Amino acid sequence: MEDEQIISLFWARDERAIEELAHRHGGLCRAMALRMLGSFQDAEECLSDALMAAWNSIPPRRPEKLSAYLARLTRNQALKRRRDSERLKRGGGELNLAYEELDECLPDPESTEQCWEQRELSAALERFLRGLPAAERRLFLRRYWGCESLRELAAANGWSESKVKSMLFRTRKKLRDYLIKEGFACECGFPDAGHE
Amino acid sequence: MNADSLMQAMNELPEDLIAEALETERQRVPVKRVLRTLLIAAVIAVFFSVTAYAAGGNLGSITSSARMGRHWSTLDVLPKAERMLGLGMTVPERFESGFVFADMDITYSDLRDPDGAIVKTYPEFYANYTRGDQTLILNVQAWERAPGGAGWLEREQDGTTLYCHSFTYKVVPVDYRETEEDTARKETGELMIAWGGDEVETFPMCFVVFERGGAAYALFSYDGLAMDELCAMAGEIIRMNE
Repeated sequence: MEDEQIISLFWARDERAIEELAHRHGGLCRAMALRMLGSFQDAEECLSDALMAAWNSIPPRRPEKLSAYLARLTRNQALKRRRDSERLKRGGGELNLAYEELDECLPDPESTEQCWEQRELSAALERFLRGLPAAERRLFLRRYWGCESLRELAAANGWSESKVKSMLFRTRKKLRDYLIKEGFACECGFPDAGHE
Repeated sequence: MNADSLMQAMNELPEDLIAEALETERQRVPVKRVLRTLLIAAVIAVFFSVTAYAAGGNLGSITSSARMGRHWSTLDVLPKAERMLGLGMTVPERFESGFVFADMDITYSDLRDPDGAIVKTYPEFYANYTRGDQTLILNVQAWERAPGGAGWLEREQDGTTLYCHSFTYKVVPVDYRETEEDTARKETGELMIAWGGDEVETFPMCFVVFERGGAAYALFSYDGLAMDELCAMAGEIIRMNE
């Protein structure tokens, strides 16, 4: 079924939309979640959550690129899971949870600022990526958006892994310089931006 | 700001940028012949690798996809292709049957488990030959094991075992739903389905596979070539290797 037909099912609140979306774009998103989290079960749950998020957001949304839309929702779920797992590693006791629950009740003067900064950062990132040569941009996105391994990227392009590594290093360095120029307090950027 | 902020900011990128990366991952190749070669590459990947991976015999759940690496229109750069493949190989400029070398590619195949995770990625070599309207394809990759299963027959040619298989090759769009008849024919080895075409197309396919110097050679055609003719051309490559 074509994307437009699937979106029409969502707008008609027809539950077949979820099945059709999973059938058409689920494989790619599941594979991406698996690369990000390394667990089949977590990847499956991410995809399920992303499909539910699509059901809850279409309508009112009408995505232009359905594959990208579902991939973004899946990636959000994967990032959230990673954050949760990091939090649990730091100590997932009830005190932590209680603090977090109370935190939601407080008007946070920083949250608007953080939200604004996040949007600005995203806009800067977009400008930076659009200014890159296409091959460099795709490589960067596949590595840091889609979390593909160096081995996969090397095989996909017919390059050696060291070439991929070195291209990514140069792009990260360019990004670091760009973000500093744009006024972002780039204390680290990507962790190894300064070392090849 | 830290790496988390950047990873999060990346999620807010416009859909066209994300789609560009995803489309590259899918590697939709517009040229029909190239697409067909890639789909065939996916089939070959399953033939050679599935028995190793799916020891439990769950062949139907293993899938593969292929993408184009390099393309050349001259045999002069064969050493470069050999370096990329990591194998020496014999690639005739022409066969006695009249097929003449046209071009060659290196492709990369991914073998995926039922969850879509890549379990293996490896390079393959393809040379295309033409004779009038007919096309013959020579595939070379590292030999792992003899292909087997329903529909495969063995023959002797110039002292070498040839593994032969004739079947219907059906290219279908990604949203195609397999019918009961498809499933039954797949089980008997009469049908092979490749997902990724623009429309449903079927071809009579003949395969001849053999091993030489650690390389797996597969000669095949979807233009209705007879098995005997393919075996004779396989014999030419075998003799060139002696």
